[in-house]
Amino acid sequence: MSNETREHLSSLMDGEISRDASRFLVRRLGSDKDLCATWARYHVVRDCLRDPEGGYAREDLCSRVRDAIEREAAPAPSRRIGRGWLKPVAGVAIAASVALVAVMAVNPVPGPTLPAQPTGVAASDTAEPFVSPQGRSNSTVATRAASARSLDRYLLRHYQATGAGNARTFSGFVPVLVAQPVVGPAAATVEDETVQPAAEAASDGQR
Amino acid sequence: MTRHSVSLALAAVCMSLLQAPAALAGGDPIEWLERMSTAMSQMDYQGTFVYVQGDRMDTMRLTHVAGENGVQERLVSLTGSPREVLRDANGVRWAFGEGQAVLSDSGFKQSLFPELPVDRAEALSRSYAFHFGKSTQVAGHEAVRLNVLPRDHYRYGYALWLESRTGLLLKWELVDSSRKPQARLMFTELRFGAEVDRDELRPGQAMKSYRNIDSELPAATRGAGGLPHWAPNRLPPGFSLTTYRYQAGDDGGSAFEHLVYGDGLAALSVYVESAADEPSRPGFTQKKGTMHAYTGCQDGVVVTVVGNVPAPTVELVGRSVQRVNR
Repeated sequence: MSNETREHLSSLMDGEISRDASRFLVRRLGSDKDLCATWARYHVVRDCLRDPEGGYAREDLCSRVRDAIEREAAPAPSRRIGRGWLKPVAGVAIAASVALVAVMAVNPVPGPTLPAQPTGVAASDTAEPFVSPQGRSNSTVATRAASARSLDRYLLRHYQATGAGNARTFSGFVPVLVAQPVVGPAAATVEDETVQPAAEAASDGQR
Repeated sequence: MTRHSVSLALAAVCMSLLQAPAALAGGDPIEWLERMSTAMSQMDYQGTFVYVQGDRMDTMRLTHVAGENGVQERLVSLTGSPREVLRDANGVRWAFGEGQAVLSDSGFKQSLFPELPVDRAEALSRSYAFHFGKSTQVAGHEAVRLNVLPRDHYRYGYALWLESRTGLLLKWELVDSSRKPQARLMFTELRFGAEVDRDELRPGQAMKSYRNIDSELPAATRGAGGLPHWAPNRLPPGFSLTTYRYQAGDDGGSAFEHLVYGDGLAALSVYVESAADEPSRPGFTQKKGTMHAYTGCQDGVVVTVVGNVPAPTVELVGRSVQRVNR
């Protein structure tokens, strides 16, 4: 699918396409399964980013998405005129979100890991591996990498144990796969670590 | 029939259609959870989803086929480094990215996608409140929204969007006790039943390229049974011991203990390892994704608590681990 077609789809979603072009594109949607699937994905990701109930597509995320798209040399956003469907979220992310779909879902390429800023989803530190107690005072890269591997094994053991029998829980493997735990024999590099003292435990726990 | 009555009839039909999503949201929340669990484990489905956590966004492809030989699953990343997980009756193989070997583990039974044990759904009401939210469409499917909210700050909750006919999980959000989203997963495209392309179960390039080694994780059945030598004396409400296993040391004592506690939805692991030479020192907490870990050293043992739970939970449990007096 050409970038021009994707841009036309984006414009169609915004109602910013000429009547003739709109008729042509809609006819194609009726017969072109790939185009139809892309159209559906645009809507889904738009909803995912917009999320009126969760405040998902905030301006900061939108601008970050736009920046990420520019870095990925995604198709240029179409010119916006009139009333767009993302107006409720300040109208900054439509082109970016649609182009992001082109990057993510239609033609996947490495990325997009967005710059660290708060979003509708709480901030993470997925790039920071676990560090064992042994690694705190002797923080050479080698020992810290070994420590990260050790603590990632705790994580995998935990997932292993909660995958069967009475211990089964609602978790799944996706967070583990995303976190990319250091488990293999290959050398791992740990660039940084952050250790924070444990806060005082709350007093209303029970045995 | 007069024009007026026809108009009224049409209006009534339109109103009923508009109200259909709300009507879908009826019923017993536990029944919806059970329906979801059954669908996720027994149906064939395949789709692409977006997973957002913090500043990171991943797109992945999932194929789940439940056949005569058990469940076959393949999860593969479409963005970022090539990551892939295969699961079948022989266990799990996973490739976590460039430069790492393919690891295998025969004792790994974890589903690649969230499932909920049907037999524990009833116990959830002690720790979570349920209510239906506004129904909507997800990935082109009508979805019922079910909120499973934690009753305290010791666990996360979920907002679930379930396919209205089958109960398949189309989208979920992990939320904390103040309902702030911590992670979000959403299918952008999902097919099920006969539409699933089983060819996508075949291993991809990431799985073929790397050296295959064993994960060396403890087998699920090793050292099972018995009574713990060490255990936490404080637990958040609703948590109970679900699994215990150990590996004995050379002197016959307990060198490694693993206790798993759960409330039916969340779980945490407590690891206690002999470390006679380690000086006692204050514990500390770390975060990785939505997981938290507490590590402390006391009385000749290293205590590590990990789980997909808030920080206060691992701290409460980790700081209360003591030798069990019998």
